Amino acid sequence: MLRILALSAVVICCINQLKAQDKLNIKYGKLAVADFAVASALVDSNANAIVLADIGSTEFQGNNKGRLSLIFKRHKRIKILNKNGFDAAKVEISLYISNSGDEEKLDDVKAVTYNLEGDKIVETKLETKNIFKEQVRKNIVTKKFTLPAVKEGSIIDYTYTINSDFIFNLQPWEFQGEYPCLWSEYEVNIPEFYNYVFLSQGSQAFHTNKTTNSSTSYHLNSASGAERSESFSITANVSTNRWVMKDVPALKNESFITTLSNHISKIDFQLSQINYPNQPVQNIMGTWGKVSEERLKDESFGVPIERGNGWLDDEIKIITKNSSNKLEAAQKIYAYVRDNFTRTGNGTYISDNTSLKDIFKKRSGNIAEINLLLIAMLRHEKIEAEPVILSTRGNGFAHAIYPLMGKFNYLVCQAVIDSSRYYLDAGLPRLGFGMLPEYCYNGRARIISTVPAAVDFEADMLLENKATTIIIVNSAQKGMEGGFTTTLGMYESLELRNKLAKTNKEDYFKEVEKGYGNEMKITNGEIDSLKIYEQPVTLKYDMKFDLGDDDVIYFNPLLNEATKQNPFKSMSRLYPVEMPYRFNETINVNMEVPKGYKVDELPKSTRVKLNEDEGMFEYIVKNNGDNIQLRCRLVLGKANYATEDYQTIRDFFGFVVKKQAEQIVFKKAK
Amino acid sequence: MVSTRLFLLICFCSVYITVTAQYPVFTIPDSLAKSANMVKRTEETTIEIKNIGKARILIKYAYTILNEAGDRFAYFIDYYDRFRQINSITGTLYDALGTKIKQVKKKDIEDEAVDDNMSLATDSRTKYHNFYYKKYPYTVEYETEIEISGIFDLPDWRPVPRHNISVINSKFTIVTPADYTLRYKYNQGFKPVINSTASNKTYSWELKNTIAPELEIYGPDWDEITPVVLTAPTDFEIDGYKGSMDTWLHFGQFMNKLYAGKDVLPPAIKQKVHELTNGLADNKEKVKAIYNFLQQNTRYISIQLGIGGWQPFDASFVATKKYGDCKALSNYMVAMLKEAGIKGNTVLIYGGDEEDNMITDFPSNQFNHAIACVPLGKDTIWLECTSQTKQAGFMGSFTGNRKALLINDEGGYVVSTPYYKSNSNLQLRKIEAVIDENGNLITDINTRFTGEQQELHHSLIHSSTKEQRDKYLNTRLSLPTYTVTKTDYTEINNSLPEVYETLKIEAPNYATVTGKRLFIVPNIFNKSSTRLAQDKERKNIIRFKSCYKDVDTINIKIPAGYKPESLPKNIEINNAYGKYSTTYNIKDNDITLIRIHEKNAAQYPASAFAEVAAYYETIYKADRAKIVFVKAE
Repeated sequence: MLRILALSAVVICCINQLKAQDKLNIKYGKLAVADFAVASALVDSNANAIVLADIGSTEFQGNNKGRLSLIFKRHKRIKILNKNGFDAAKVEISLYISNSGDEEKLDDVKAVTYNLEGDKIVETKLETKNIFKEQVRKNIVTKKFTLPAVKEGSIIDYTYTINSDFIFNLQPWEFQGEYPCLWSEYEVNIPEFYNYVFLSQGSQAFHTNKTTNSSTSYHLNSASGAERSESFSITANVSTNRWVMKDVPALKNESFITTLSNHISKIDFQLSQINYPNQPVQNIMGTWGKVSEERLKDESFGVPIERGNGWLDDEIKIITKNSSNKLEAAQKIYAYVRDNFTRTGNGTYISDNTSLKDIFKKRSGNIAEINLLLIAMLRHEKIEAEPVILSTRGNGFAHAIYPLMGKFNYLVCQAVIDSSRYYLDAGLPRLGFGMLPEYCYNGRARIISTVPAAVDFEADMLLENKATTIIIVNSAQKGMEGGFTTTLGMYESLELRNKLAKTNKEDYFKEVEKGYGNEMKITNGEIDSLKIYEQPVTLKYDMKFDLGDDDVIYFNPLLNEATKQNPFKSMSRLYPVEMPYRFNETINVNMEVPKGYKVDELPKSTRVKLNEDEGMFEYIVKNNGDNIQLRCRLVLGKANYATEDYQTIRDFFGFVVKKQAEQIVFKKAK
Repeated sequence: MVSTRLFLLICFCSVYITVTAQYPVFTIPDSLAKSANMVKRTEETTIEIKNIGKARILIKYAYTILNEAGDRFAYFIDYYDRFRQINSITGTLYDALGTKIKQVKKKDIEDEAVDDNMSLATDSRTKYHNFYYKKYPYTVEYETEIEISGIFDLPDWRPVPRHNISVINSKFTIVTPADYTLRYKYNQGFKPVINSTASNKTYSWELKNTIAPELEIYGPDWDEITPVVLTAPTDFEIDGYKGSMDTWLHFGQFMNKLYAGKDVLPPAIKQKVHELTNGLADNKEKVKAIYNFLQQNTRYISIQLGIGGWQPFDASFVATKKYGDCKALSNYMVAMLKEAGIKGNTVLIYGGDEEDNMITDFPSNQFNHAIACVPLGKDTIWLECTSQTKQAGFMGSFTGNRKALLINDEGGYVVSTPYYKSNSNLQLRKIEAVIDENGNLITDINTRFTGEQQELHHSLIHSSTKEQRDKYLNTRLSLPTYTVTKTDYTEINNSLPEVYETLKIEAPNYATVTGKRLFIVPNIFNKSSTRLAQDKERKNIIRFKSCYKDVDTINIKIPAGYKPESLPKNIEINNAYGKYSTTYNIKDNDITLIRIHEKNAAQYPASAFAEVAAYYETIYKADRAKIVFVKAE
């Protein structure tokens, strides 16, 4: 008996303890002197401010429009540790306004700064007149304020409510931010009428992740026109979802990362179903099949490309003149749209009150408008063309399975001609037919057609091939001369084309010459395939230089092609390495030994591998009498590398840089 | 019947307009098109000053865009706020032949808030329009009418704003009431044509058939080599405040009106000021004590609404909210100084790196920043009130080396902020390094920075976390691969501040080791990157603005058993362009290099360009010079 009692006491203790840890005892406006002493390992020399608590909740509430509204409440408490943390006292709240002028409302903004003066807490409150409003864009307003009387050591406390009629806009929650956070909590209460898909991401673990069920009554009021208003209540099962993260470190940026937003710990919501009592279930998110079907029936997407678009007849006749087959016609249409239209932004559908004809006249539009126009023009010529939606690298990953349209921000075209598939983007000047910009290679994309299919665009699918040949011979007069030829990868070619659109060839080669220093003279500069966007660019020029007549000459045969800096600078890394493509670079040098000299020392030939088969570097040099041959090759077989591989890849590049800096030593023949 | 005829007439008019070619490109003379990305076909700015509180500005222009680099001139953008209203925007796009293609539609004009990345709130917004045309060449024509309330700021005329453009015609006209005195300043002999009637006076300027000068590195300010007409009011009014800016004295008197009554402190702050200063005998100490209090108890928050762009918040607002912008914080500082019985002043200034461009003989609104000053003769103290860390008395590159306007009870006076010469901007560095037999380098670096050269390190100390600082240091240096393993900073806060930096760095493979040789670049950290291309004849003077002095003393220990095979020559240059020397000493396996480089702000004629270029090329090469050691046999 005694033993049983003791056991239950232990159990009760545990439960109490669990409860104590699961709820943070904190209230807006209530603060004790002891709260200024923050004991946490996260308070170190790298923290400018620390979020003591960030607590949010979303609840549904009946409104007087006969519907339910979303009530989002937030309470955030931050301790400012030093001057660089003052920015934490600037608060910006974004609110949505619909085209018809309905807006999310910000209510009950309260903010206070606490300063510890001696053993007294001094409070300074925010005055409502110091809250500023700014119309940022058509559908976005921000409210901004800063807390008063902020000093090093201040604690700031603020709370606000957003009242929203837009149930598709259930506020997401970021557990991680610029400052470390001791306690981040979000609770969402969803009545059975609505189904949301929860999307959580990030590497931080939840302290609490719980769902409980209860029942709640909602009171609604409907005032419809002149009729008397009607009040009613409905009771519904409500699921309460609560997430807590404790001791979340601050987010940190790194180079060679697609976007930091892929790595932030957050939870997002997508409305999937509405299920009102006595009404049929409305599928909001639906399946890809359903979503595609709807998109295809939509005036802002499918309808304009399904139409005949007879207004294009005359224009297309001119554009496709003398085309001998469909491929040629498609290429001409693509070039026409690419060369005449300007992309003004991203998007996945046509803006309100805009037709393809408007876009055609305006010669500008978002990426969806331009590529949907391209699709309409291709279809006009009976060429099979479908829209493909995707999320660009900067926008983070789209969901691989669910049709979460909000995650997509870009639209390209898939054309099938003579059973070959081509992906086209006419929104970028000088992009070749069949190429997509590198930022499109960000995982799963979707073809929006009657049979919607997934397409994967992975950075690993791209390979930048670069080949350089350097020939150096003794000049008939004094010194050395030779030829330089390099064929660039497709993306580097695009970069060069963009550069040369704003400067001329002469200036470009002058710049190349300047890069070598005064010893080198460059002549006969030539650029091949500059205007043939489907081909890589080849650069050629002749060189003339003097090595002087010292007894010993040191010479790097790779000239300016040697990699001089390790691209992976920082010693350690938090996130994986994500490069835009794989690459394969080869440099071949064929050189005559300078007249009157002999080779005294050659760099050693060497070959190293990166993780067995993920990359390779070789430097092979041979001397046959008066001739030196060098072949230097750098291959990176993968675009993405795990965080654990960072040190290996940094060392690999460190070796490349070291090896490519080596010199040949020539000595005067006696 | 009448209405039908009118209708027909309108029809004919529009037909007539559409068939008449405007601005065909072939009429541009080759000489003007040759090196241009854009040609101003016509441009006309007319300012009608109605009275001191009102003016109308009409701008009409047609620019031909010849290529993609000219696109930056193809769009329309203008701003508006409480004192500036855009009444209308119209425009037309023409193709190369001069055929009208389309017109500005109201719904295509974008309206956006100005985000200066700095302000919590501003009321400035912009209107933006773009035809997004891509068939070069083409011509855009825009016309806009702007109304300004209060003629505090009047537009200037810069018909040649950039290189690689040409101007066929640009006109600038100002109409004033007959009894109004307009002030203007022109360069390059651009006198106005003045016409008077009983009610009006008209000033006009015109520029024809001009090719923009080429952009040259280290050249003079653009305003010195292109036509500029500056304009300013005499009497003006803004938001109910009247003033005159015919002299700086009067300009300052107007500012006094805006500042009047803004310096009242709450009793608690008055008491605090006395607590801080009563025990101190020396005024300089009192200033420092108050400045320190300001830095500990305020922060910078920019709010620019209406007259708030020029008028500070009340000192009592800053005292309770503990924030303000540059004007508000300077004003608060001056108010606290006054309470302590010390005369301080607000100083209006143009802040920016190496910007000494105040036109002192033309009183007008030339400022973007405010600081405070305590005139104590040669001990005058200058105070940057928006910074929580800057040293009392130090201005540095943002506000030093320039003229500014001090406001006192009588009005405004032009003053000079401190000038920092090369001996104030020092970088004195000692390097002790060891290179092992594989070429790996380990080095201790001790550096003393002063004046403008300590600014970066001051901000590394105060504006970054240790992690950010380490990360920065680990990416900044031009070593191929390296790790900073130790960092330490100490600071001495004088009016000429100093920072002492201690670093330890490991750089694998810094030296190249081959079978029998060792290649080392002994100048590890301080390599000049200035290179001047000499492919074109220099047209304008050469001007260097920054000045500093660097001394590097480098000791490198190498493995035993090597003897030098190739050694750079010592260099000593002391000429009109600066001082530079490198001195090598090799003893057994110890290398010593002393590098001294001193640069002064100076100006040289265009004819000296080849010599200046050669001087910098010598430094460029000497800084990268290599020592080659070979294994002793």
